[in-house]
Amino acid sequence: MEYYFRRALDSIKASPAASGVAVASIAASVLFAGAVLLVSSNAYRMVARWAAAGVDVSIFFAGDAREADIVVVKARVAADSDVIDSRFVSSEDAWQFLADTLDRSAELLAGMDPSVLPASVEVKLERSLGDGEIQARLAEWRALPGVSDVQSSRSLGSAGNGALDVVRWVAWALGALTLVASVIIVASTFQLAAYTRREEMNLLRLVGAVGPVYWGPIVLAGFLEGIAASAIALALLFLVFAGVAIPISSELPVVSAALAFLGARQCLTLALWGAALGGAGSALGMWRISRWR
Amino acid sequence: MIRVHGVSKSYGGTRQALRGASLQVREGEFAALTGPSGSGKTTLFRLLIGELRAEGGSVVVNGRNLSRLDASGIAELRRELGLVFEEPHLIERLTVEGNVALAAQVAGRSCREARRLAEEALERVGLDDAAGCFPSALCAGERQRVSIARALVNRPALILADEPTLGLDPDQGLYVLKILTQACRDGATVLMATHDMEALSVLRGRVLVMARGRFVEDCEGDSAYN
Repeated sequence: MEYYFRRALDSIKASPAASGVAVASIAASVLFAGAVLLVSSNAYRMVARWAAAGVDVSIFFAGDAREADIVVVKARVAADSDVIDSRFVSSEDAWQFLADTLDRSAELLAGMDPSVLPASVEVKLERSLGDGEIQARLAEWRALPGVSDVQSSRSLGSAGNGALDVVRWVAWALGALTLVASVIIVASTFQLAAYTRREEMNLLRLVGAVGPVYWGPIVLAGFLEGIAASAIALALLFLVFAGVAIPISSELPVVSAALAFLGARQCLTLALWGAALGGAGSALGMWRISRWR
Repeated sequence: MIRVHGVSKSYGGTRQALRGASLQVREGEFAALTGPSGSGKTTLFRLLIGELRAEGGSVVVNGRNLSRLDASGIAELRRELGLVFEEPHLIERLTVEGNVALAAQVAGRSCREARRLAEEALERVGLDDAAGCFPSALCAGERQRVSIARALVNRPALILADEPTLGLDPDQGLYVLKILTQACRDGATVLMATHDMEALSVLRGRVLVMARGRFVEDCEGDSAYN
């Protein structure tokens, strides 16, 4: 084993420029994959938190809704046995909630009329309700006098999940393209490194090196460069995450609870991705060199 | 140790490098192979190490028929041989000891064992004090001695040397011959291809003369030089 590690490290030291390019291309690939993973996992977490708390329904009143209309809606909601909780939110309360949410950016609202936000009844329905049952209630409440619109978190969640599915497929497609491109770039880099050392490799063959003794150190070098590149990429990703997440958390406290960096398993997966990319790239480079002989 | 029988080899099907050449080198023997340029010495050398395949006849080295060996069999054979080339083929970024130890590592020795064997081999070629140097710090003769140490490191039973004294000054050339003859005295069989008349004048062993792809003389000691 010492032979493989020593020769692999020698190989890296022998061609620092080629090794640097290989590390940079692997790091770019891992950084891209990590960024996609980070964004999608945080988006999923937010949707999941939102959906786990039950089905939120907002019944918005039109600007010209009368007090009697509001009373009717409140009574109809209160009479529903599947309603866990409900509360009336006036235009002023909604304005105050928005200002609290925006926190330090609340001054953006200065000079605006609070009545632009509609009053509403915020309803929480049982999670166990089926889509059909919810849709029936929404239609019923939408038909009440003074109601301008009814929105439910389940339909928003479904739309969000649909969008996330699209994002996930696009991410997979981009990831696959990146993988192919990275393997080709890394293979070409390692091929260049192997070419600059063809005399040495020729000598190894002359003294009887064959199989893993011949190609093992080069593939191991690629593997080690892949791990180093993954570490660099993860460190960069963390710095970018911290740079973006800290201001978001302070500006939008409601979002901050759902924001998190990649977990240990995801980091390990990315490190293995980088290592596999380095190993596969160097093996492909060696194979191409051996075909030239 | 080496049995070559009726071997022929051509390049591109037109230039005949070997024409039914036959040779036998016994165990413990020191044989020098000489002849003019283009006589087939290097082609024979390349056949003996499995770099080329004979078109006719048979080549047996260390009891192995080379025509029946696949790539891994050839590699295994090479690990049993001590090979010295006209150019030392050293890896410049490895130390002298690293270069020598590499052949032992390729043969499956641990790094520690390979270093120990490299030290011994460097002592045998008089370069034990240069173990930590890089090849660029050595003169041509010393570099060739490093390559001989690399050939000796696994204590091979057969050493094949192709023009090991070419381009060396007389003193360094003599030193190289002395090392190879000492290896023979220690029990190795040595086949050395050379043009070097001065080297032949010093050697007292068997001399094989090639011309136009065949062996034309097989003689001993002074008579060979004459």
